[in-house]
Amino acid sequence: MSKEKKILGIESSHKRAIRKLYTLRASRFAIQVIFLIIANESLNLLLPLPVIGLSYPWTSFPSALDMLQAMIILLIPPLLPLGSIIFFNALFGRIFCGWICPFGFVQDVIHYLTSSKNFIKSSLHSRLKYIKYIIAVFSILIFIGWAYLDSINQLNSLASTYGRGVALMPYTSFSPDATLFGTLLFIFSLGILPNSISSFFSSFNAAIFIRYLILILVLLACSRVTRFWCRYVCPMGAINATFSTRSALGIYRDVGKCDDCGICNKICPVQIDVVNAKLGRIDSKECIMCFECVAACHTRALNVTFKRR
Amino acid sequence: MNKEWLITLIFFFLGAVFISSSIDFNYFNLIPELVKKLIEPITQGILP
Ligand code: SF4
Ligand code: SF4
Repeated sequence: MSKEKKILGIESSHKRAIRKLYTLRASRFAIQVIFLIIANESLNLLLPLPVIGLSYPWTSFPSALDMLQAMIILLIPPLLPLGSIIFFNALFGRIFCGWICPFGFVQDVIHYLTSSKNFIKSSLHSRLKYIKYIIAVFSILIFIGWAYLDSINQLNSLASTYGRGVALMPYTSFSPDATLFGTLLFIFSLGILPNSISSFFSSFNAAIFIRYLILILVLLACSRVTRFWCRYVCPMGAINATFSTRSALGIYRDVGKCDDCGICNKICPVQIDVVNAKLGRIDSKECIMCFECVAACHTRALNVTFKRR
Repeated sequence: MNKEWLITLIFFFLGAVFISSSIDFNYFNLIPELVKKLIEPITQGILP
């Protein structure tokens, strides 16, 4: 029996699904680009919702996590970042991860360019995905520890030993998104790169070296496994996931319509077992609400809806 | 009402209360100040 040709991983006879997937990808790409521009063009804080990655000198939007850590450490109740995280995730699930986050966008672009794998061994995947929660808890404990140092006026001595970055924003000091959108762009804006490679290298110190190393390793991992950072490492993703467990918006599988073709499982960038979703609802903790599975489903068995099933 | 919706609503209202009280506390105006404070550390140590 001859095998049917596939387009975007979908059998070529399923024209409607292919069309929908193309349209979805184009719209998602456009929205991600728009948010990347918003995040990186100064809006002079007209819209200070803390949702997007900190990327000085162009951004005016600190990410919720950046704000959360700074406010905790500076002993200001972090009501705004915490409120916006809880509110948006309770309503729409991790739509931030699928459509807005600039670092998520970078990973999607890497996926399109390198055809990184959507799948790793299931047993390994189900263990690795807990790492991000451990990192999130560990980061929050560090913020609280730093806040304690601040309360006993010891934060300045930490800052003078390890730098103000480590004292005020311990997570951002090492996160690859801040290196990519912050540090590197800043170096370009100063004309150090690409004009003066020697002054670029002379700016190296241990902390900067670790930052670049983390960024390179993460980008390499993302070129092997789709959305590697989001699946296994990102503490922002872990915090989003915690409040998305019962999000109002959800993706449901209609068992009656599903013909078990499995295309949804194959296309999912974060390796969710859509075909075997319990009670018909897709795991909204790990799902980044990209809706690729919904578009690719040729039997229309998957639906995005506020209605509980 | 089922348990699932109850959890959703608790998170929804908790988030809404946090956001509205941060408006009461004038946190929206605090953010620019904080950002200025944070810009310095992110650029520190990268200048030759
Ligand atoms: S998991 Fe993290 S990096 Fe990935 S999209 Fe969500 S916030 Fe962005
Ligand atoms: S389950 Fe569907 S919507 Fe969720 S991440 Fe996977 S492909 Fe995207």
